[in-house]
Amino acid sequence: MVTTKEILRLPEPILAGHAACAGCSSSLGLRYALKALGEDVIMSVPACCTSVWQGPYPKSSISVPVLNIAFAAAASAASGISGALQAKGNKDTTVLAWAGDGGSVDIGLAAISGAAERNDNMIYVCYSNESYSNTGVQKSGATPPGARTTTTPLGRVGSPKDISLIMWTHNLPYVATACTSYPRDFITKLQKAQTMDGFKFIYLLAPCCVGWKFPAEKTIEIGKLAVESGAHILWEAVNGDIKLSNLSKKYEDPAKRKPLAEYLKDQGRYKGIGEDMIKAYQTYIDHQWSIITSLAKISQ
Amino acid sequence: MTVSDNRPKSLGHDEPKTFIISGNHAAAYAAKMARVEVVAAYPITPSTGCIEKVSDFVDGGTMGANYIKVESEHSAAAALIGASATGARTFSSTSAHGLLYMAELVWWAALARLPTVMSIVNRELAPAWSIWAQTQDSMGLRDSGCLQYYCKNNQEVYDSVIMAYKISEHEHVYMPSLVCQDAFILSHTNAPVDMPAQKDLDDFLPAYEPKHFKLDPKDPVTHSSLAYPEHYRQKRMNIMESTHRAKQIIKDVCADYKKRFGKFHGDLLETYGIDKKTKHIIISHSSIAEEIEVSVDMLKNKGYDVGLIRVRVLRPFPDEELRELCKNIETIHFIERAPSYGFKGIIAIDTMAALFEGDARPKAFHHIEGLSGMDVTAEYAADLIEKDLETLK
Repeated sequence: MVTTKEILRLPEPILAGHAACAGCSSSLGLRYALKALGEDVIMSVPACCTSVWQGPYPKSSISVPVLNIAFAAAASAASGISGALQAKGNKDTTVLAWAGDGGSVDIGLAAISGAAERNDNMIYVCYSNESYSNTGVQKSGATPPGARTTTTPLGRVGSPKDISLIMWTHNLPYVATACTSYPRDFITKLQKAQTMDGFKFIYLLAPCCVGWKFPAEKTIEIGKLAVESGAHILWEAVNGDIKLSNLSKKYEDPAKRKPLAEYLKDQGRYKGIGEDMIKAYQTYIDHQWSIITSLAKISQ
Repeated sequence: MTVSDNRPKSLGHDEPKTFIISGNHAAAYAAKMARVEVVAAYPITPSTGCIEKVSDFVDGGTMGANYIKVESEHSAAAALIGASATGARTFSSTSAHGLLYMAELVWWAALARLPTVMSIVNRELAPAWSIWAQTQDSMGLRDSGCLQYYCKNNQEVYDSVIMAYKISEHEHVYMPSLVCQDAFILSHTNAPVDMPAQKDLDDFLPAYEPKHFKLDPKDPVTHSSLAYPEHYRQKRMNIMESTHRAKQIIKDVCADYKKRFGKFHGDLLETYGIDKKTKHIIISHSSIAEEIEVSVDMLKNKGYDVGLIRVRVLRPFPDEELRELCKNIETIHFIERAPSYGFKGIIAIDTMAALFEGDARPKAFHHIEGLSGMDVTAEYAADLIEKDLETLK
């Protein structure tokens, strides 16, 4: 695994003066991603927070070339970029599709599924703030049970889609989950993905202080609690073989997890949400653990 | 065959050749010989024949393009945008609902100034399901910025796809092109198509080298990011200027193509049987117009002073050219497949607007004909015009 010192020494790919909110973890996530992948990268970015915080024309805060594209089209535009590079005999440049959870889990799902099925050569990172944060925090397909958004003012009913497992069923060379609070884990996963041909998918949990309503200085802490409470499971699958990442391994034992309430207590989106909804969230988390650990056992 | 650069291969065209092929295949041959680098397409009747032919070429090893078999037309257009922005020459083919499904990205390609070319087979829209000819699908994208060509036969489809690359990739244009043909009447009907030798075509259409921008890590740009009104306005005014400028470039490219290969189908428009004294002009488009050439002969034999204008390019619109041709006429007769519901035929609306900037005020007759591919025969069209003219007596 890459060391913190090594990360700090890497060139800064996100330039000063970008327009992200204070405490934004998606800008942090892209900073790590581009540190990991280097300068020979072309990005495809659909409508999402990153399409705003990169800054307005004629300037940009992202130091690699970026194609901004329509909401549902991050993966398909990246397929085109990748196809053009292949047609021109370029085997070196990395194509990075960088999209939010709305653009991936919901409106862009068919395009990701298509690109994955074709095994088009790219790394697709879905950075998830578990809502449509850019348009003012509406419910997305990745919003967890009970969470209050502007379209679920009484709390989200039902379960989110697990895009990572959906991608895993596509028989891909690499699928992983990560969290912006653990840069070494995320960077190591990206660098592993970069060595592989084909479609690589990473789901990056990116806590959003505006959408989740916690103080900006708690972004890293909240992300860590997501993992420590077991709400977000870190795992990776090389050629389909699922393995829990070291950071999540010990939380396979529910007794070692921090209580879900501790993860939610500083999040305004859960303020006043009833016990039944919190219980539904816990049931969802337990169900996810049983799926991932079962799949990890099969993979052994 | 010698190719001096590293463009994708296009084998089997060392000498000029004539093929008896469908309009779909004509477009596929043109894409191959244009040495397209990336194809992204999704099947839809009746344009499927084009991408099937491209598949045969690619898998048969005679066409060096990278063919991305996308899961929807929306993704097809997005992939073309990604590839074109990376500096590749790109191609797709679609029809009707496919074109409407990709509409968001067709606009995107135009507003992003990407010179992709698509072969459009004009087909009716559902409901009810109908797979036959009508031009509302692409004419509904009239205002997107795409250059739009409406072909009358398979030869014109082939030539127009080749020329569309030259025009769209011109540094004073950089806009996408839709090369349109009528469902089944052209797309599934075999007719002779003459093709030049590959090396001569290569001289006419060199490799695509974007001068405006390209996604390149060695020279990074952020493309299509947020623009505040003053910059946004400037970008759109540039498109207004470029699409107007495209008129002259279309004329120049068509003249050059004619000189090199002897093929000419009109540039912005094509006339038939018109002289300076013509009093009655029929305006039509696409394959109907070729049939109406016969109607003009029939009417002339009966002593009527009629001629035909076929609007070949809908955007940029040949407004000055129409004003010049119509300045002394008495009547104008529109026969077209595409209505704008609540008003008149789409070409009629544009033509009347163009004439309003001049002095001529011919009496207009409007005919929406050939919906859902219904046959518009020469006799039928001649009869329509004759009845129009009888009302003047």
